[in-house]
Amino acid sequence: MTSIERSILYSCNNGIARITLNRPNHINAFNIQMRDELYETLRLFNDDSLAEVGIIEGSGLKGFCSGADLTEFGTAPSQIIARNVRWERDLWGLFLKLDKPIVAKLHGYVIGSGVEIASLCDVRISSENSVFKMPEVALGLIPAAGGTQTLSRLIGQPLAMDMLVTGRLIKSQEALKIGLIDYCVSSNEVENMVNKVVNILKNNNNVLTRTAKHLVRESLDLSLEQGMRIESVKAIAALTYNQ
Amino acid sequence: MIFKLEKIHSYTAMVTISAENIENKDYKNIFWNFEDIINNIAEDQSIRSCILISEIQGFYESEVSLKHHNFAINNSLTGLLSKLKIPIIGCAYDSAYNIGFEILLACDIRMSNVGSIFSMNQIQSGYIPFEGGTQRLPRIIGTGRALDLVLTGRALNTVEAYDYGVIQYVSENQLKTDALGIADKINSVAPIASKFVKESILNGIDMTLTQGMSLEADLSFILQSTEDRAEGLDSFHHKRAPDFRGI
Repeated sequence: MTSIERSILYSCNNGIARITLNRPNHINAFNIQMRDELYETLRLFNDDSLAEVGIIEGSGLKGFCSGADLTEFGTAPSQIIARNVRWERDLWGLFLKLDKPIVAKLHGYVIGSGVEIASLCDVRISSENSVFKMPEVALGLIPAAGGTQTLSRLIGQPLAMDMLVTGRLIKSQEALKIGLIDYCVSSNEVENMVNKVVNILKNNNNVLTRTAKHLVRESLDLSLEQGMRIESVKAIAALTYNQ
Repeated sequence: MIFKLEKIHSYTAMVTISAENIENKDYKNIFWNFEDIINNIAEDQSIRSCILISEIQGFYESEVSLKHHNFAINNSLTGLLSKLKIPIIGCAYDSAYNIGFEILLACDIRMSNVGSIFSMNQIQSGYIPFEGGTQRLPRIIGTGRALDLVLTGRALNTVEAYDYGVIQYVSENQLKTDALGIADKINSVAPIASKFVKESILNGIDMTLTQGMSLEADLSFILQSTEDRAEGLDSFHHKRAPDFRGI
C-alpha cells in the first residue's frame, strides 16, 4: 500500500487543536494539495466538539511558510474556472468565519501566503528569528489570500502599502512594533509562549471568547452606532447566559 | 509657487512644488497647472511611479488655497492626486503644515528629512481642513491621535511622525536620492500588479472585509491575463531577473 504524505496534519489534545503545515522540505510552500487539505482540516477543527482553541504552525526548522508554491501557478484552465474554484472552497472566508480562537505560531520564513495565513488568525506569536515579506508584485502577482485587506487592517494602510508595493523585508522586532505580530520571544521560548496564550484562551468562558472575537472582527465593518448596538445586545445575552 | 514635472529614467515622474515664482499666489492657475501635470502623468503609460517633492517650507503655502477657498474646496489638489493609479511617494524637505500636511497624506508612501515637523492647526486660524485631512489622518494614524492633532494643532517631530505612521522613511538629508531609491524598487516590480495592490488597499479599507477580499480576488483573476504575470513566474522558475513591460 502506498501512502500519500499529508501536507496538513491535525491533532487535538486537551481541547487544543494543532494544525501543522507539513511540507518541511519546501519550507511549507503553499500548494493546491495544502489548500484542499487545509480547507478540510479547518472544517474538521470547527466541527470537532473536543477542540476549543487552535494553533497553526509550520513543520521543519526553516520557517512557517515560504509562500505560494509557484510551480503550480498558471495551471488553471481559465480565469473563470480559477474564480469558480476560489469561491467553491473559500478557504480564506472559512478562516474569518471560525468561531473558535486560533493562534499562529511563527518562525523563520513567513513569506507571502505565510503572512496572509497569520493575518487571518486571532493572535500571532513569533520567534525572534522570523522574517516577513510580501513578494507578490515583484513576480507580477498580487496577494490573493486577503493580504491587501487584512494587512491594512492589522498594521495600518501606510505600512501595508509600503510592504506590498516595495516588498520590503521586515524582521521580528519591527513586526512586533508595527503590530504584525503580538508576541516576539526567543526560538526556544515560542512553544511555551504559545501554550501560555492558548491555555488562557481555553480557560476563558468559550461563549464569551467567541462573542468578543466576533464583535471585534465585525467592528471594522460597521458604523460605530451599529457596532455599539450589536455589542449591547450581545453583552445582555452574555450576562443572561452567565446567570 | 509653481508645480514642475520632470521625467526621470523614463519610469518615474517627479513633481516638484517649487519655490520658484513664489510670489505667484493665484490658486486657480496653480490648480490648472497641477491638473495638466497630473493628466500628463496619468496618460503616460510608461510611468510606473510618481514622486511629489516640495521645496517649500511647510510643503505647500496654505494662504494660496485660502485666498480662493470657494474654488479650492471644490477643486482640490488631493482630488487630482487621487486620479493617479500608480504609487505616489510624498517627500517633505523640512516640514508639512496645514494644507501641506494634507497633501502629503494623500501620497501613498511618505518620507521627510530628519528634523522635520508636521502639524495641522487650521482650527487655530479659524478654518478646518478641506483637502481631506479629517478623513485621511484618522485612517492613517487612528482616531484618537487624529483628534488630538486636529483639535490642538500640536506639532509632531520626525520621530513621532515615524512612530505614528505619518512617514515611513526618514532621510539623512538626501531626500531626492532616497526617494528615487524607493521609486526604483517600485519601477522594478510588475506595473499592473503595483497599481492593483494600491487600488485593493485604498478601496478595500472602505469596504467590509468580505467585500475587500472579493475585490482582491477579482483583481488577481484579471491579473492572470497579463503577460507580466507569465513573465514573473517564468523568471522565477529560471532564476533570472524579470523584464516587466506593463502588459
